[in-house]
Amino acid sequence: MLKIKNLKTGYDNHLVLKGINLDLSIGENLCILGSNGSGKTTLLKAMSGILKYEGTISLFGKEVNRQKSIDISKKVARLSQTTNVYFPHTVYDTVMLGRYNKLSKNVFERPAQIHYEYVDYCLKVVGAYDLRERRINQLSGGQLQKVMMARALAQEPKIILLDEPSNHLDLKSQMELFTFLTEWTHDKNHSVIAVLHDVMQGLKFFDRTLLLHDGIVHFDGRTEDIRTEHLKTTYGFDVVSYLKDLNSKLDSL
Amino acid sequence: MKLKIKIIITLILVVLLIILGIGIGSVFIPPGDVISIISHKLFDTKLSSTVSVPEISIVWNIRTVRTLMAFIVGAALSASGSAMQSVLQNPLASSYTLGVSSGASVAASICIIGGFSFFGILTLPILGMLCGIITVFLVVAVSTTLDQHISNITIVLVGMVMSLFLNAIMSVLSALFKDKIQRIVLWQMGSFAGNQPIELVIVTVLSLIGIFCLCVKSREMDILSFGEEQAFSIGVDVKKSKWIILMIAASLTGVAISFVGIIGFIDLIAPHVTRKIFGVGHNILIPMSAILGGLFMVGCDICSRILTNPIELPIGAVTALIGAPFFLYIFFKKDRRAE
Repeated sequence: MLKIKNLKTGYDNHLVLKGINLDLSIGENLCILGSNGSGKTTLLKAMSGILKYEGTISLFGKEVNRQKSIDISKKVARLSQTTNVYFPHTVYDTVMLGRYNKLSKNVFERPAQIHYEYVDYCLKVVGAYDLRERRINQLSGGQLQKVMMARALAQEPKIILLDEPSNHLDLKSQMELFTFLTEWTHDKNHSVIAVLHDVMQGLKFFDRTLLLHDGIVHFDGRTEDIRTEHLKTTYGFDVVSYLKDLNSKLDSL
Repeated sequence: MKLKIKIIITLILVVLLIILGIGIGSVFIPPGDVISIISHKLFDTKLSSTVSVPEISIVWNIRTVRTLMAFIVGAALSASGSAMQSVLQNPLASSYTLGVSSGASVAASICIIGGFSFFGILTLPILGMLCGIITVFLVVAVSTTLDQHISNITIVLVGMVMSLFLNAIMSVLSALFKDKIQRIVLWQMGSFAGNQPIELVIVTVLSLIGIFCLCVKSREMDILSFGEEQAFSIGVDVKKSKWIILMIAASLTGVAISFVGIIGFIDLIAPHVTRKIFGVGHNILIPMSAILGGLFMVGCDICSRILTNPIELPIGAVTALIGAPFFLYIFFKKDRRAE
């Protein structure tokens, strides 16, 4: 489904990714971990066709950079780290925009009933149905993140790319989001690729993990095969001891 | 209030203001007589007994053309402003602040000085369109080079620098061709006085085509208003859509001001007011901002005629008097929120 070979890319003259290789099958869910500046977001941007690159990124057999944005959007939806709200669209209209690649080209035609039903479904799935009449500038960060997730789902993608999706979400919403995404990939017909800061979330919800360090893959494999040393090298300190220490505080509650 | 009711109220206001605009002037003609004359001309109905022959000429040959020209120019400028603000995700963007109007005015000045008439009556609109497009291209290209994200500050500053530069060219032209200075200065101040019916027809046809093209792009504008990366992820061909919309918007401004001179701020104010009343969805925003822009312009034109009667104020001065404080309000309101 997604094959990346010797991927090199960056910004201006600064090379961020220095030769990434990855082979992901449909149905797999992958989390990308790494310290700040290791190239996690850059990797997601390259996968979604936003960044130019050297090497190859083959998506369902076709090179990403040679595909039109509308064709990529039918396979991949990307949820960015932050959403700037310049103009206050309603929540419903915002999610309907995710149907862009499915709507008739005639803008004067009202979208068919099926599109409204699908938008309702997406809003319900992320728990934002009650917000549908609100304007997006009136939402909290977490609510906005849910709406953007609904918009990504509205694209009916095969793969969802998430950039720190638990940003702004409270703990319950985080749990609900990751539980939903795990179920979403269970039919073996969808995949999730998520950049995370929270190692524990990665360990709990994702089957496969990619550890990035300074633009190079430091570990790629089943999440359960990650060892203390991998995380230590990736983050530059003893992550496992730190997490154990945090957990011990929970035990004392 | 429901959308349909708001639209109906706005359309009623448009009709009332246009009738008022036709009636007001050095000779006041009551609205009943205005309707009687227009109805007589259009549908050959019987004239009201209070209507005199000179009044027919004033209403039909002078004021109707003037008022409709004000309406359509306001509509074109406002639709253009709405599109620019959305595509650049910048509430301060407009043809005026981006220097498009100044670009078109340089073209007009060259025509005035040289007496050129390459395409007959279409010379000014065509040159206005071309110079509008070239200016917006330069402003966005320079802004993108300086700042990849094209932030509010960058684009407004580059637009202002471009305006200043083009205004300097205008000053040079005025200094070199002193015999033409009066016409150039008058053009720079903007006026709806003395427009010919054929000019109204040309501006109306071209403006309606432009506004229709923008309506066709309304879905792309909705998506682009979230930023380029998000628009790409949703499936919009960002580069192509952005340039097409900017070209249409710049052309609309070029056409709109070609026969009436520079009129600023309408393209900044009307889209904001429209968003407040009708929301931000472009399928409604574009046509309604055009209608509200037309409404504002007719209102400003009436003000320009009655505020200092019998002296008529330049329409550009009236819109700037209202628009400049509004610009400051938007600018500082946004800054406060950003903090």
